[in-house]
Amino acid sequence: MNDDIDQLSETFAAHEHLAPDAADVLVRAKAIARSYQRRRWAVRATGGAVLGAGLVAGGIALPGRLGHASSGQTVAVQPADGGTPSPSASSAVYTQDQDWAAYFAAGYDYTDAQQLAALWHDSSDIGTIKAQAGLKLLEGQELPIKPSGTPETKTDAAQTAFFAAGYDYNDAVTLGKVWHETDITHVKVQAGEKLLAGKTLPIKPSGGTFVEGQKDSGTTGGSVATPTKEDAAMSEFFAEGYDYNDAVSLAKIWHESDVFSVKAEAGQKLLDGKQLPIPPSGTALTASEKEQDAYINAGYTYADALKLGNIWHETDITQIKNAAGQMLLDGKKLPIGP
Amino acid sequence: MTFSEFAAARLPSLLRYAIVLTGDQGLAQDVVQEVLARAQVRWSKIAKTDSPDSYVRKMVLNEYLSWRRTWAVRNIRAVGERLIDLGDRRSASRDHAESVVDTDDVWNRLATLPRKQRAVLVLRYYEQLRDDEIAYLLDCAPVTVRSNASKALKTLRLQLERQPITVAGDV
Repeated sequence: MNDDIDQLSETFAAHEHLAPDAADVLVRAKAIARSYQRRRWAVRATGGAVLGAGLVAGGIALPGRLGHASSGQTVAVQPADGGTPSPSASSAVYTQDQDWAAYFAAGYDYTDAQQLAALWHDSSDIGTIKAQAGLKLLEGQELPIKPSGTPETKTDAAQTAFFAAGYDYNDAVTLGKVWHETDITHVKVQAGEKLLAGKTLPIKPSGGTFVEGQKDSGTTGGSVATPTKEDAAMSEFFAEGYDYNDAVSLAKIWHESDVFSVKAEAGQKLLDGKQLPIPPSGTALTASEKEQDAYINAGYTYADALKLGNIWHETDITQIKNAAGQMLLDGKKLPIGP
Repeated sequence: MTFSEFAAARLPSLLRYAIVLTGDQGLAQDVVQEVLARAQVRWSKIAKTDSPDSYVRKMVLNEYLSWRRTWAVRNIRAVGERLIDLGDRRSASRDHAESVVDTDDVWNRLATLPRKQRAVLVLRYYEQLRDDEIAYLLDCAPVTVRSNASKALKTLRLQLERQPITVAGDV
């Protein structure tokens, strides 16, 4: 066992030398930081009113849903000149997506939302608080507290637009070749700015956005494997509180030499409602933890939970993850891919 | 510690971490320069944390995990080919060449893992973290860490847990 662990450690160590050049990275990072800083100063100079460059600067159109806009409706936010707030903003109808985007783009986070809830004596869930705060920002109002984080820069917004349109890292590499540009970050920003300006890119997006009927890999990016029955059995083994040492004990009892197979076999017995000859060393997951475990193991993320919330008209992320996890445990498919 | 002092001292280590985590030079560079840029802007806050290095390393991990790309699937062959080339250049003796081939083989297999599984292996066997520490970093239960590690090792066919078990009394 130690030999195999050593082999992994050796593999990692043997490839450390592929690390990019530190001096090059530092120069580029400082250049990006300068652009972030300039944007930050611009935000401060305009009283923090330049919100969500992705929303304001380029007039991005987001699909409408929930609350303020009816489902499927598209609401365009007018572009602003020189970083000033859109004059039409106060009369616009915003989606909850836009409210949240404005909230996060201004540098506010979850903790800020908790503070706002306390200040406003509002017991609504945090998602609603964020949306309310985001709406105020979109309408040009100031919030009673300063954001904990840094407001989103134009660069951030451009990259967000790039990925939101379904493009991914590979697409950026392809675009880099088309544009003879080797700085992939710059390519993403350039491409995102074009998208924000309503222009099209020379290539179609290859992934990222889920299209109805699209084949779903069922795993996170980078995977070529799909969950198997054996995987499900093994997950159940661990979820019930059993661990490697338990599997070794079971292997001894069952006179098996392959501990991996033992875990899968034991997990399958648990899935079939049978009992194992030994109790688990650890504590079994609660139903809620199992649901969230299923959700995470299927490759879904927090961002996916937000998307599911949009579809299901639910803002409590924990509830969304639990509901989604339960569906996965029941063998059902979610309306979006991971 | 100023940001420049931090970068001078810790950037090489961060880049090594990023290459092991991502398995791709371009992506490692992309991830670290984005993280470093954000870290510089927020440095006054980061410098006040107990461990700025841990904070920035977590930023690198989060950036990698939130990267919405399918780069690895398409780059497996390219990465493999590139590594084999590098391996050929590096090999000075037959024994060393065999060792390089072994590690390159494992490296190529690592590229087929889902990001979270790969991250678990890197955090366990490169960063030498405990499962509860990994669980904290990945915002999941320790059991999920163990489950991911087990699946990853299965995929890698390292036979980590396939060694014969000595049954009591059999010896």
